[in-house]
Amino acid sequence: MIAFAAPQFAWMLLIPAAVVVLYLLRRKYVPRQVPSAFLWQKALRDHAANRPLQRLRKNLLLPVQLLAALLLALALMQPYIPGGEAGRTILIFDISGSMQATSGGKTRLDEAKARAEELLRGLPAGEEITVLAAGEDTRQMTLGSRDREEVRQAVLSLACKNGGADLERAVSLAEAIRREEEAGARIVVFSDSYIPRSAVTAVNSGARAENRAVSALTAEEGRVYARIANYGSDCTVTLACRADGNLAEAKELNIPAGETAGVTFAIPEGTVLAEVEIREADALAADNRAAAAVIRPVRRTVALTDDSLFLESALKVRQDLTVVRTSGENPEGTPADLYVTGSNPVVFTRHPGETVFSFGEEQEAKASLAAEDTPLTAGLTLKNVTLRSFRPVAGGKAMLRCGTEAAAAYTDSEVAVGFDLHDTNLPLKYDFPVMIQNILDLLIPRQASEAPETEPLMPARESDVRAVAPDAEGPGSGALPHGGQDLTTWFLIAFLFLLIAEFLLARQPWLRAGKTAKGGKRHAR
Amino acid sequence: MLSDSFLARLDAMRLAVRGRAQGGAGGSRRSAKLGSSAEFSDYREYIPGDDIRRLDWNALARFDKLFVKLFMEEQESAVTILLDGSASMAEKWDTARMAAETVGYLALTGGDRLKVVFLQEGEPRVSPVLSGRPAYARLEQFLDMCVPAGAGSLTESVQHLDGLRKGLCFLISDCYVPEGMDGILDFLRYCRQETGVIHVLSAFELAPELDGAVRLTDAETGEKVDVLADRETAEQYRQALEAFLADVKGSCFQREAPYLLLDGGKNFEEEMIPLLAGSGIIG
Repeated sequence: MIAFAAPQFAWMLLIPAAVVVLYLLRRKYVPRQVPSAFLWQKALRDHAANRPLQRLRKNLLLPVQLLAALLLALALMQPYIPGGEAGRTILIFDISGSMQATSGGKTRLDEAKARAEELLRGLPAGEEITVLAAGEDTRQMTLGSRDREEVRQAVLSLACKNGGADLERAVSLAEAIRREEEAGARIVVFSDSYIPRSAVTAVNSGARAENRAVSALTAEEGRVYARIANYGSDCTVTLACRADGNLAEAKELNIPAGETAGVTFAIPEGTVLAEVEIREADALAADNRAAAAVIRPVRRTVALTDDSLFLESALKVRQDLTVVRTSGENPEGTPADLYVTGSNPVVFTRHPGETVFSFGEEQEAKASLAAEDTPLTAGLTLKNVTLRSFRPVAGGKAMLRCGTEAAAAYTDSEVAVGFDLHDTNLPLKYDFPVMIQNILDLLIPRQASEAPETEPLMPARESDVRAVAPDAEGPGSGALPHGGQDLTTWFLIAFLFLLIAEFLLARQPWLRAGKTAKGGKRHAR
Repeated sequence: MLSDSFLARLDAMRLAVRGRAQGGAGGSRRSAKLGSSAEFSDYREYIPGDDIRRLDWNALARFDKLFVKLFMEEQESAVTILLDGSASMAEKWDTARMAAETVGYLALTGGDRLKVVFLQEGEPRVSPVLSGRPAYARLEQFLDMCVPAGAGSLTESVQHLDGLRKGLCFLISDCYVPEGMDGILDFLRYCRQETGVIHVLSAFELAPELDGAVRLTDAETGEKVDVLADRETAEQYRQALEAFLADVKGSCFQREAPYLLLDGGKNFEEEMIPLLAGSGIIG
């Protein structure tokens, strides 16, 4: 009994039908004028009814070509004889948000499960099967299980999450498992976006689809700001905004293809939870709705010991902050949430006088400032930033370096900048307010009033279901691996043999003889 | 178009006429009337006023009665050539024209009055009445002006002819008449015409050679017929051709009309003499 690893190519069986149609249609009639078509009409009147079949009847090449086309179609379906020796198979399922996208009433994950079921049927008994679920973390559902029912249940229990999927990590884990196996193991990834590499088979599910998503949502007292992304053609979406479950406002929004558009809703004062929903159904329902707790900032105070116009301006960007002055000798004389003391070095601290940092002698900066990879340097480019001199900072983690020395460092409760802001052009750059906001976010993060937990938004790459893996042209593409004897090569050899036979036959003069007609005869008078 | 040598061979031939001639002027055909030819017909008793030069003196000596010898009067016959001028004749026009010239020459040299009717779409073109061998040049001039074109029903063209006098009539055509030749031949018979049919077909029509798929366009009607040249098609055509020829020939034979089939692909002058002799057109 022959089974097929790529039954999705069954439509290729239409090729023989296409060959027949081409035979019927390929005739190019050479025009010729005759004195009268009278006799031809009489001759062909009875003959015409079964003309198309007559054309095929005596053509020896046709059966050869039909058989060749049939073999090609079957070869593409990758025929094999099921059975063979049991081995090891590792199935990796992508359970990212995009696998929830539906087409034809089935989600991509449903389709992946169906393909996995097909695969399981084709595997020999005794095959050891490991199932891994690849979300943002990789979960092991079964490990080397020979119990086919257990594997099936594990596959059926898989559910998508709204986050992404770290498939590379899952494949690395599978490869690690494979390395431990002496006989090796085949790895099959069921995903909508995995591009296979060597020794890993990808079974793609899903078709290209259009989707609209709530890509950002912020709620403040009295208003909600939402951004809607259109991963498809131009559209108009209807948006509903709910405040604590009650409809607050509905709007229509036009979004050009592939772009995003912002929209603001008014919500009543005192709202705790705001929700925005896209009313139109699309391929991915999970990202059509988003909820956000209403932010009610708590006011904070920052006390400065020294005058610094640049610093003051950068601090005031945070609207929940109040900047006050305090004395250098007794900063805590003025109650504040954060103190900024000194001018060289400048120390941002919640508790003045309890510093872990020590500062070296001032030295000339012989190198330009470089940012370390820290949360405090996120978004900094430090392009064209120059520094005249600095005091090397010891203690904490370095965030800015000048050569090998730390020019700025931080701990969880304080940040030290080992140079005078007047000795550098940093305050004139875009990097300065960014760096100050990073410092403030670390030391005095924004505080919202108590709000319910909301689900995080789906990442944009998950919402964008327009693209699927390159070879996943339609649902269910990608060939399934199998444990049986592969017959594809034999079918291809037979196909090539028939092609050669067809070529040789077409050159036979006796086959062409029937193509010329000499009608009539010389009549005796 | 005919060569002098061919015309010289025609000089020895005469068109065969079964009935009596009925013409106005004297000619070489026996007429129903009695006249002054050399051919004896009968005796009758002398009536005063008869031409005494015709008295049979031997009979007077034997019977002692006056008898007058009666002779046949010879008159010219009317010969009409009906020449099919539809577009389907274009390919075999040379053959059809030479056939018309041959019959015309035979008529003119036989002392008959000749009229050529070029049957074309609309009104037919009719030549002046020609007689005598010198009129052959005028016959050629008339045929020079005839160019086959257009469609039209041969039956209708023939049935709308008027002024046909009793005599010989030769229809030169490809005989593509869907309703058959019976109607035309019966009409001509009704007009007291002794009809002969010269059937002209081109070499392609008699033995088509096609290769592959061919879209045939009717030169006359523009109709298109798609043909896939294979043995079966050739056989079908051969059968249709044979049935067609048998049909035309049968219609002629039923009405004792001489029939002659000309192959446009052959040398006319070589083929025509034996065909004329065998067809009953010359006597």
